[in-house]
Amino acid sequence: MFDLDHEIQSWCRSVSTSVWGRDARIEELKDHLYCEVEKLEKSGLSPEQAFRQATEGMGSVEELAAEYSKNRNAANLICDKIQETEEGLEQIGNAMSPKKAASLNILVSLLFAAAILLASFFLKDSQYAQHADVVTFSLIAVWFIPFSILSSAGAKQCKNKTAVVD
Amino acid sequence: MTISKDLIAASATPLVLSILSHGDSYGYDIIQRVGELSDGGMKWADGMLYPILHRLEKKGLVESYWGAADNGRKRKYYRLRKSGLKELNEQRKNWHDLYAMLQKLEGGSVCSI
Repeated sequence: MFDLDHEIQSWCRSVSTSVWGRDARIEELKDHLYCEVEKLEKSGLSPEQAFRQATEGMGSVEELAAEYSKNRNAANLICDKIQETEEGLEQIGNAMSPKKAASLNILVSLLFAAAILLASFFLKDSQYAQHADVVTFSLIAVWFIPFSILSSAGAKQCKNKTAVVD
Repeated sequence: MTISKDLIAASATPLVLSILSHGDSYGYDIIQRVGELSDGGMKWADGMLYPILHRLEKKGLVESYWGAADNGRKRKYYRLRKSGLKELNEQRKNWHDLYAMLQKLEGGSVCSI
């Protein structure tokens, strides 16, 4: 039996892998596909016929990939990465409670602190002692990544909860 | 009315900006509006609109946000920004100028070969 949801998921997966290599933007095309299938079904087509016609109307995967590739200059790639990070943060924020984010933040910070202390300890008397500062500052810089992600996730959830209460 | 591919590509930005100047909208709705406005003469490959919308967003002419359809499905909406309105006005002027040129040629001098 024809399973529309399954077929749409499969189509989205194949397009997503070929065009972007990830799923973030496929939601938009998925909504479009459902809208078109619903319209065609109303005009009397079976779900299967409607799905086939709707996916044909979207254009081939090659056409889609060619059109999207026009967006891929260096500046746009940076924007893409920023957007991906924002979407990632949103997902983490949606999935994690503020308490969990705070606990994880403390744990990660302690791990980084331990790594910095260990690095200093072992480098102190070694031939690489002059690089100790570089290692320490690099670890601090890297620590900011999970710290900012987890802080943002916690803050987002708090904000969402406040909005619901309001 | 049949419109060539080149003209479709050239008119995509002003059309999208113009539709968004009437209010926030989403991809499928924009395509339907274009179809209605052209009495079905302008056929966009459905998937082609989205890269255009993303380009407009990256240029800062429109902004997007996630909302929900009546049935609860996740839906991405687009909103015209001030810079988009400015761009739309410039593009409108260009198209008007072009149209005026064509009208002058049509109603004015005769070109004999």
